[in-house]
Amino acid sequence: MNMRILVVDDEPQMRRMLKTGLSVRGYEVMGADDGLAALDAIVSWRPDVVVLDLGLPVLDGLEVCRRVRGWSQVPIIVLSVRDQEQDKVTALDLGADDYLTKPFGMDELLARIRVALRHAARLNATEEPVCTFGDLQIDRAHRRVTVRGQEIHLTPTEYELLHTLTAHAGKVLTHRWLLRTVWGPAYEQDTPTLRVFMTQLRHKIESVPAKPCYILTEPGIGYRFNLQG
Amino acid sequence: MALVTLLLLLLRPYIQHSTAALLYLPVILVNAVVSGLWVGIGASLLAFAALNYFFMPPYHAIGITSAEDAVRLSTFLCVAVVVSGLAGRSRDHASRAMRHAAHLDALYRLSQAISAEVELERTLPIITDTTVRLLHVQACQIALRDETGAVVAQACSGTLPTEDTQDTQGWLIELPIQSAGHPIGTLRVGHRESAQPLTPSERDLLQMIATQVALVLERARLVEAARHASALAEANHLKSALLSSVSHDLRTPLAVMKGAVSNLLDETVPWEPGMQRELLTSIDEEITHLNRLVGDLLVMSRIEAGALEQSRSWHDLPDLAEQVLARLASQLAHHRVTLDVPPDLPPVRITYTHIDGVLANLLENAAHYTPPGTAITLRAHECGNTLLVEVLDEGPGFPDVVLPRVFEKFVRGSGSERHTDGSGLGLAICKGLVEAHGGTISAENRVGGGVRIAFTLPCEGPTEMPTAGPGTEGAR
Repeated sequence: MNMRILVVDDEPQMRRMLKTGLSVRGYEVMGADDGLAALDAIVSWRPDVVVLDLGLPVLDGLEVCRRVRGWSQVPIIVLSVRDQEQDKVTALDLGADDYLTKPFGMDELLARIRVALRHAARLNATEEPVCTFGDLQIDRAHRRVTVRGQEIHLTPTEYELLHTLTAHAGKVLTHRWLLRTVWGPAYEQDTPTLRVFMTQLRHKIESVPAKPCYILTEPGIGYRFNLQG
Repeated sequence: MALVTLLLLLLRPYIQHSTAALLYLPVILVNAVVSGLWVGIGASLLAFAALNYFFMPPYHAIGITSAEDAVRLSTFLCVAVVVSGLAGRSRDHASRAMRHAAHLDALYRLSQAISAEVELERTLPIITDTTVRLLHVQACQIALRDETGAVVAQACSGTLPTEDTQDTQGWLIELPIQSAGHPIGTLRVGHRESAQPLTPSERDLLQMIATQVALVLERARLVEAARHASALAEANHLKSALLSSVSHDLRTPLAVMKGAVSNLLDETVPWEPGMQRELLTSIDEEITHLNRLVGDLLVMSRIEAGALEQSRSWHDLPDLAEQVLARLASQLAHHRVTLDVPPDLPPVRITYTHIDGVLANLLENAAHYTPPGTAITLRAHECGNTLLVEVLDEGPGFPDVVLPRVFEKFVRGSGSERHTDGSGLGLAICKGLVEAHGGTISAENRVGGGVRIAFTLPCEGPTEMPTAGPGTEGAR
């Protein structure tokens, strides 16, 4: 069955362009022109990915994000003309998986959609005890991590951090979200701590820590675990 | 004192002179408390004399017979003087404290009265009135000056010794009013009817009033500054809302174009001609849209900068209206259009393209925002010195929240997807163009539904008209 993509945008031209571009590549596409219609479509049509504009009539895109995350983990890729870091962080904090600024190239959007679909597939698959990303192997049952066959020692926090990153591989995770998830709500603002642990973790798993290929930095926003490795 | 002495004389056979001395003491004390220190001391001396004269041997003569009597008498005098001194002083303290309390009460009431007011014009008279009442002076004047010494605000109460505010003659006292170390004005009070000078505590009170004036002024300045700041913040907010609106409107068509072009450039996709055509159509439409938006932004910025090119000449409105309707025929095809413009209207001196643009914009809006099949009316008539042009439709009308702001930039009649076609500047441009011709424009929702947008164009006097007056034309 073809993958379903819901395109939510109040500009008919934008919807039409995306519909043409995505359906020609084999995706099944449906359009929604406001926030409420989007929620309805997510409930009834069950898309695999939602491409969401932020400035929507009736119900704002951010609000759509928040409501959807109450009951669904469907990947949400935000498409918006708002290019301020704060806007991106807000959308990602509310549960969006990715953020693309308009205008964007079709190839870029397609790449993000592929990542989102792979991530969703990984989430849906029953918890594999061992998962592999390139040279990196994580054995969740024994909390063991090996790089190129060599077992490495991680502190409990480092392991927790790596586990969280790989569990959401492909998705942009904001500083705040990571701190809240790994350290707890009281540490939400403690970005320096996160930086220190990221550096340590990169030293242990990356072959060239200065040019990481697993843990990528999203400047000013957070980190993303690279699925390709 | 005399009464006590008489009583004691009657009792003299029965009491000792030391008892008499003791009985004098309360009398002295009462005198000192009621009438003050000096009366108390006077009473002490009198009692001393009476004691010596009446109750100590030899009776009815001043003089002392024994050393013991001398000690008794002098001790009595000392005690009496000390007691009346203490009592008198405490009485002075009490009365001073009461005066202080009264002053404080007056100041408190003054500060309460002025804290309820913000305007200088209202607070200063309250202060001068209170000063006159508190200090019992004939007049009080406050004059506030700016850096150059010119009076910026003043208030007077009571009968002024002189009308001239610069004249310092005839005033009892003048105090500078200071704010942050700088003199900002003067507080003056006139003489009293009793011609008494001010006591030190009254001077203190006056100084406190001067301080209050400085505080009032400071507050008035702060209120003004806060108003200014909030107006600036408002303007700033508007400006950033405008910017984000412009950036949204410019980027959206760009995003569609980039998306479509990057689609077409992808050689891995087997493009069917139909799909290619669809993408190319979107690009074409977005280019038209973007071009219109940029054009509108340009006109708008010309209007705002006052740099609109004007080339006015005489035109007949009926001709212009027909031209516009003919040009928009395809857009208006689904509506019942009525043209109600009498052919005998006086010609108007206008920049043709501007008024053409206004009419076209209003008609396009009417066609765009109303359901097909409804009526659109273009009406014009002479109304005093002006020509009134109206465009009426039968659509849903403006939402109530939008109605007062329809002529502002980027305010749209409806939040739905329809706005993709417009720039959000149409009515703002109409307003700018009509006003550049000395006219006015207004919008309202009609009672039976729909919108009425009306604008006026001033007709100039018949003497300036190059053609014959309306009368001859009407006879055609």
